[in-house]
Amino acid sequence: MSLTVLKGQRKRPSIFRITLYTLSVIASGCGFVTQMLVAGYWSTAFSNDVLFFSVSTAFYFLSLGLGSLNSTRWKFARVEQLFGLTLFLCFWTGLSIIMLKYGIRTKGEIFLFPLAIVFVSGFVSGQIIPLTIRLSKNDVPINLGTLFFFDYTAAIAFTFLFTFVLLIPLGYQNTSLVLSYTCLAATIGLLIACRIRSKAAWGLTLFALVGPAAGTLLLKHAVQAPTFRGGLKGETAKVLINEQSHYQKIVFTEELGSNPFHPTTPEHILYLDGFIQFNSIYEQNYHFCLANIPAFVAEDSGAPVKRALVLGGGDGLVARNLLGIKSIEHVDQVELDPRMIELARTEPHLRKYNRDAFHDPRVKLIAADAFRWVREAPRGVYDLIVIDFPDPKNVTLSRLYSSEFYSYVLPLLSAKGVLSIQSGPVFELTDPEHLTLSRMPTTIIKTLASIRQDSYVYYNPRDHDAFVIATRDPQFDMERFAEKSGIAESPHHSNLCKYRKYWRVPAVETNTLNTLTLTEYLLDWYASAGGAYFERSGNYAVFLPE
Amino acid sequence: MIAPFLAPPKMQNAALAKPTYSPEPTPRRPLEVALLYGAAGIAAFTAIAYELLLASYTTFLMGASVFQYSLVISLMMASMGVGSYLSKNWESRALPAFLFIEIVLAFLAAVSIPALYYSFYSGIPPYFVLSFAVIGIGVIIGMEIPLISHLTRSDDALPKLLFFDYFGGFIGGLAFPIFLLPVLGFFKMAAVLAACNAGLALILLVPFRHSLSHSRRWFVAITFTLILSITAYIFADDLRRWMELNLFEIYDVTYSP
Repeated sequence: MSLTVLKGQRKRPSIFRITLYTLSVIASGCGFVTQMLVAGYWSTAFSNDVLFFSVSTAFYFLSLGLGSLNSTRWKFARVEQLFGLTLFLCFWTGLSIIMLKYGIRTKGEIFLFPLAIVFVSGFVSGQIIPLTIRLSKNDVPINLGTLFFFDYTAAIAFTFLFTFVLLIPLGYQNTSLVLSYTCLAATIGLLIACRIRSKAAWGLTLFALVGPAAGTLLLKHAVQAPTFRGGLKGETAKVLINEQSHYQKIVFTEELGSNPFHPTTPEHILYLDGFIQFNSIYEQNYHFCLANIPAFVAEDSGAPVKRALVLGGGDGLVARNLLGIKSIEHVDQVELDPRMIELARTEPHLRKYNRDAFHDPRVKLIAADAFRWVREAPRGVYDLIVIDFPDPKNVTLSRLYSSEFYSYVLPLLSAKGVLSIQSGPVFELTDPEHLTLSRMPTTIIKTLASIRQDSYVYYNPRDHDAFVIATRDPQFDMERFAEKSGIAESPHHSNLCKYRKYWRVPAVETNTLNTLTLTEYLLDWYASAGGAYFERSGNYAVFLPE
Repeated sequence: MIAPFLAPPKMQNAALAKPTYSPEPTPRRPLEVALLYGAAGIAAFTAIAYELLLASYTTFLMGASVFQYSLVISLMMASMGVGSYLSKNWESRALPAFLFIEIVLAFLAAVSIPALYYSFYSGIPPYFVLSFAVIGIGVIIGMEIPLISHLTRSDDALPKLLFFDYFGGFIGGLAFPIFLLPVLGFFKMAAVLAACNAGLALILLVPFRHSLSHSRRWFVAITFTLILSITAYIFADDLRRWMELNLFEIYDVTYSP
């Protein structure tokens, strides 16, 4: 690269100093936000947020250190070097998310991809501060504290703009492009202000201008969601909805022929962040166990359900079952994602399955964070509370299965009120005899016990989903109820739901906000099952965040 | 209370008449420089661990990991920038300033987690307490590297110092999800990190004590902080259970169902 010393820099120290500071600030902000975007994207796609944020931050720091060390090898420091590094960083930032998507799309969940992207970003950024310090010696020396002040302050400004303001409306990929071109625009402005005529500098500018756009266009086709492969045989499925809401990736598919007994009946499946929320052929069984069995418990206690609360369950299927109960007068439905509520109200297939539950005047829809809502909700008014959250695959969801959360939920129940909780997989897969309760329902029972609440577990024999039930009625006898209602596990009883009194139970920790062990248990369970559905199905590209 | 510690030494006799940090100081010995590099590494280790500790704990309490990590890390980096800028004023008294901020950091770190948990329970907005903890800790850890850099008395040491700084951050970032969080949990981790900061102050105090005017007082203050941090570690789990029981009525269930 032909590099020329900036002409007249001594005569115009102000422009030179502005250039130094601004480039340093741009590079720091760019590198830092790239790391945050990559870490955010990966942890959103693969759940394990604490691990990946920590490891990626660690690698970012290591690469900054190695970059800083590498800068000592340079004999001369020139302002063009600084421009070169910043321009490369703009280029790299613009391509970071599309490269990550391409890596996941073609090779799957390989931890090395995001770390490599973060590493290159950090290695380039790490050379900026030592270089700025050396360059400043030609002019007015920059105090290290002042330089750090500007660099670190840039980090918060960039983070607010790109991860808080732009990320939600634009998505990860477009945010990385906007970040890249914003930085490039500022860098070009400085190149012009400094009257840099070096061909290498302008060549790199062109590279940073064209590179991200061209790379995105080139890889866009390759990362586009392929035809969805559904069913056991991997038949082609139609993707009816594929969109990223503020909170989750919503995918709704339609398959034909996956049920050998009803080859013309379409099977609709709703996925949230790659995890199955409901399957139209089998969901009746699941929702019967989750909503109707506890309603029978309430009735058995002599307090038929009049007022119910549904936490989660934005598809409206729990509400549908509750509205089918004769005594029901009012249902409060609390769902985090307004987009999910809107889809359940407007999408024709969803409306058919939930029988327009969200249009029923008895249902009050509340778009709110359940944890925040239950803290301020009226106490002692609900005869039945149904908790239908997704499995706690990350700590954000795991909070909703904690002792603290239940300590806010239980007081909302009336004197003989019943609480029903969707509790994930029922069997521990390491026990082929299926005599061991998995760690998820075990933890939920123990967590309820930690706030002095007895509870019981039963399961859906079709999908092996566990449900934990708890009642405020001190006289309630689960065994008697199981026999009476026909859910006791016995060859003579139905297969809708099964209650078994004796289980082998694994050792578990209570799930409090200070531990949140449930996520680890669930991810271990998925690992023993060969990975979560979105990992096993080969539909990575469909489920990846935008 | 603090002023006597940070004030320049009193001029009691001719030998003490010269300032502790002369305009043209004698270069540090290689062993001293190595010790300062190590100090930078430990400081960075605890700094990154504090960032992740606060970001993860806020995520545990309030969810939305991308938002919490971005907020905590960027706010902390901005505070580090302010700390770094403020450190200019203390360059002439770099060593006592460094020892002082390590003691304050140890106390802030140890109380931050219980304070956040309490604020989550009470009506105090958790973000208010979080901002206080993040800005407080951020300003202090932002001062660490410029002060250590000044103690090295050489501009050439900066790239290596930055390398140790970043390498310490790397180790801290790896240790956090693999060891610190799963093995220690939040309450114990805060106490361990506080003990690390107090220990770091002690490590620097011993070889550089001759340049301090009140080295005995410093020794007592730092040892006291270290003992408090170790005590906090021993009682961390008890404190957590006590808070869980008294705030949310969560009992310790020792058996499995």
